[in-house]
Amino acid sequence: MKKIKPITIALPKGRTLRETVELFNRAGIITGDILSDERRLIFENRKESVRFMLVRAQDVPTYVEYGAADAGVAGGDVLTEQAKDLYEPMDLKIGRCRMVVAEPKGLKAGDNPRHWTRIRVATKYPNITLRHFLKKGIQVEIIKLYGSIELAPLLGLCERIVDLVQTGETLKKNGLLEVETIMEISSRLVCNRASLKTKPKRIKELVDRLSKYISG
Amino acid sequence: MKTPPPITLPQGVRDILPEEAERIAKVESAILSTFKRYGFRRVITPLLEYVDTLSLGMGRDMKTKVLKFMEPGSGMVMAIRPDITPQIARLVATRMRDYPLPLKLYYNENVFRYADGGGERSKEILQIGAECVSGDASPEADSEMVVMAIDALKKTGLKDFKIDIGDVGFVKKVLARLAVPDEEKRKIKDAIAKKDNSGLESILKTSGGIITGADRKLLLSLATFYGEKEVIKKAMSFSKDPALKESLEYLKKTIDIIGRKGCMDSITIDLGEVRGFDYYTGIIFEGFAENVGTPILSGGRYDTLLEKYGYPVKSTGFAFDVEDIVTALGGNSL
Repeated sequence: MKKIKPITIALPKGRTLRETVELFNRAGIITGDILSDERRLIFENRKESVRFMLVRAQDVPTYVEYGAADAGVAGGDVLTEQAKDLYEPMDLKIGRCRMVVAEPKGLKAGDNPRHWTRIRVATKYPNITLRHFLKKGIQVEIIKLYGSIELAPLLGLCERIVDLVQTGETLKKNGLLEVETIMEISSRLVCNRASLKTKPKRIKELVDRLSKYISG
Repeated sequence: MKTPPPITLPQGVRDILPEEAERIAKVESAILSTFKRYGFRRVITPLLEYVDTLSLGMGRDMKTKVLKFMEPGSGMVMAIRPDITPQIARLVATRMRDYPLPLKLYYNENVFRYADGGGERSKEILQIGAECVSGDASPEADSEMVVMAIDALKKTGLKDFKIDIGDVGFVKKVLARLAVPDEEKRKIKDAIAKKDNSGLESILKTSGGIITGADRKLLLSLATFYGEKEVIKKAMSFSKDPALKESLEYLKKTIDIIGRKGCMDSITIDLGEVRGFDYYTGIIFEGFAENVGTPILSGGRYDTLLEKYGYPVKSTGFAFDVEDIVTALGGNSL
């Protein structure tokens, strides 16, 4: 018997980590409570010959593209924004949210998005935002921010924002209203091209096992 | 007082020092001796071409990766070649028609692929490649290219590698069966390229239920048709259309010959693979090594490219990324 080839999986820290770990736990790919020690970033399931690393959500596609990780879990927002050459063999149907255009309540009244010609938008997703508005023939000045996007209109940095919403609570609290949805988002299993070719059995096994525990 | 500007190079290009150059030379000589053993002869093509000429052989994707500038005298736009194959096509079609077929040529050149904005994704690549021009497509010619690539890689001392074989001709035929607009087909192709079945399902849903039954089943299976030889059999059972069967028969013959040459352990099959240059028409293949995230070689059959330069003959070829092979070998080359 040939020795099984080890694989490395990159998991995203932040918003979706707990849900992701629970899914991998149910599928038996992760055992034990790996989140108890917050500072540990790499751990191993020897029995399964799988190694996990925790990295920033935006960095998952990079680790996987270069093959530093064979597979990973990344949100549809990050994947679309970065447009890297990866396989996306499975929608894990967790971390669900929407990417929307929002603006202050006061502005929304009497505003028609179809008549916009040139607008200023703050976002963490400059590429998606640019493509979305260009497609509609709207010129857009993009302000790239790294967090707390919903504050930008309050402080007069811009009139509109493009950001993720889950329940809409944060928007509401900051006096913002949704104008339109750009895309629906969920977490996906992504895979490096060379890994799928050189370790096809391991990747297939990973997909098969996870798919049994995906709901909805 | 002004500090002088640092002495730097443009993004994407680099110097190679003796130690690295020696490792590269070893890999080169292993590959070139293999090519010569198979009867291939070297040609040397120019660094620059007119964009108009090069464009005959380039797809939309490659056109965006060309570094262009103007020829001062004529005002014509020139480019640094991003790919050697269109150059070979031009060379054969314009100057080598009196050579007997099959015509077996190889090259050892550098190409430059420019990324938008000149960022870190621009890259100069050392390529060694081979092209086999013949009157007709044949599994014998395709399998010879794959086996030669495997022999060359073995000669460099590389151990853990796989040549992954697909067939864009097959996927193109599957897409041609669908009665949906081209824009929709492009979306379907992109989803297949990413093996993104959930994305594919939602595209099929929004396209208004036009794609149903066997076509739908085949599309959704494409993403899983990767692995070993048995995937051809699986694909056969999903493909009733004689045109599809014909492609699969051709692929099976090619794989069988590779098997008879004792190379079955080095190959995998992926029928959902649609990457590569737009000029590919049939069997495509890429080489992967375990510690390199991108392909170390890529190639395929391109039966309509030479015709674009006025010579209706068919061809198959591939190119190694020499530095990627050096990386794959790590410290223990040869």
